[in-house]
Amino acid sequence: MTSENEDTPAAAGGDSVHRVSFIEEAIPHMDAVYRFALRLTGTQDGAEDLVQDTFLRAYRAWDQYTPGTRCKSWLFTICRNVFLRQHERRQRHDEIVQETAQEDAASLSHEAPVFAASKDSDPEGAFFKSIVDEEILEAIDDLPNEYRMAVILSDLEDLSYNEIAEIMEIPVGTVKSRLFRGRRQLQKRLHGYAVEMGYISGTVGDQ
Amino acid sequence: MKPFDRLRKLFGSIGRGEHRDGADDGMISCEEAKTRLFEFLDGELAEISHDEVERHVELCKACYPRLQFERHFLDALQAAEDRGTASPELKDRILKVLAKESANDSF
Ligand SMILES: [Zn+2]
Repeated sequence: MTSENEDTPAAAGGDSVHRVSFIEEAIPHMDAVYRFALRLTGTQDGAEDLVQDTFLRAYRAWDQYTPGTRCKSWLFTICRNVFLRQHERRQRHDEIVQETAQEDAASLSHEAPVFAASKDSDPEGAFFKSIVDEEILEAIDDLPNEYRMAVILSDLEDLSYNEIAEIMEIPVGTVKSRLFRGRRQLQKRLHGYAVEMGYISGTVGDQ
Repeated sequence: MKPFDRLRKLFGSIGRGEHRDGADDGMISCEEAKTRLFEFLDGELAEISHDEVERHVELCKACYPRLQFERHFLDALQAAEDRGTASPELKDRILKVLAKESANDSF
């Protein structure tokens, strides 16, 4: 960094403070943002471009970042926005989500069709452990955008409902309904896969 | 973090008690427990509500496997996350872009 400072005229002025604080606070989250971007775009090249755009945008908006708040969430918010803007034409899934997200989260969380389906052969869902990681990630990738986003942020990145609500700009109740729906959809797919692979007996499909 | 480990310990010793459907001892109903299960596992319930669910699933033969089922599912998701990192090349590239941006900004 020292050599860069010498090369860069701006670094001599007040701008260097701005840049140094950005490098100290935001750059350490690059791996997390990269993983998020990888799940959103599905390709390494796509993810790298998205991460670069995210950090450039974040850098330009660094004045608007409130020190002490979670920088990671803030970066995820930007990453999501950039991603959505780039994929506006591929938003068909979201329309479907909009229609169903109104439902009460509580009413969604307790209907577990897969649990009912595997109750006799594998009541505690041990089959989930047999499923290879690639299959799980692929199943997540195939979820509709907004379910996928909620599942990634909660179940892979371990963020709270509140943080997810801020990133996705939706009420906490909607986070819950999208997350729970996304999880149920995943369970269904993974159960189908487990049956197909012979990890568990049962029939595929059929909610 | 999510309270899985604590639960695991808890269920190692107790767990498969009698199925009591509902309200004796002021226990919440199965329906109530099921409704809160994800929030319980996500560590998102307020303390009292959390304890109610915990107490119910400890004693309820029907809800115990349900909890295990959701837990195995969530564990599998967490375990599947690749611990991928941004490549050193990408980090370099981004730092260069930012340096350039700084240069442009101040005339
Ligand atoms: Zn019960």
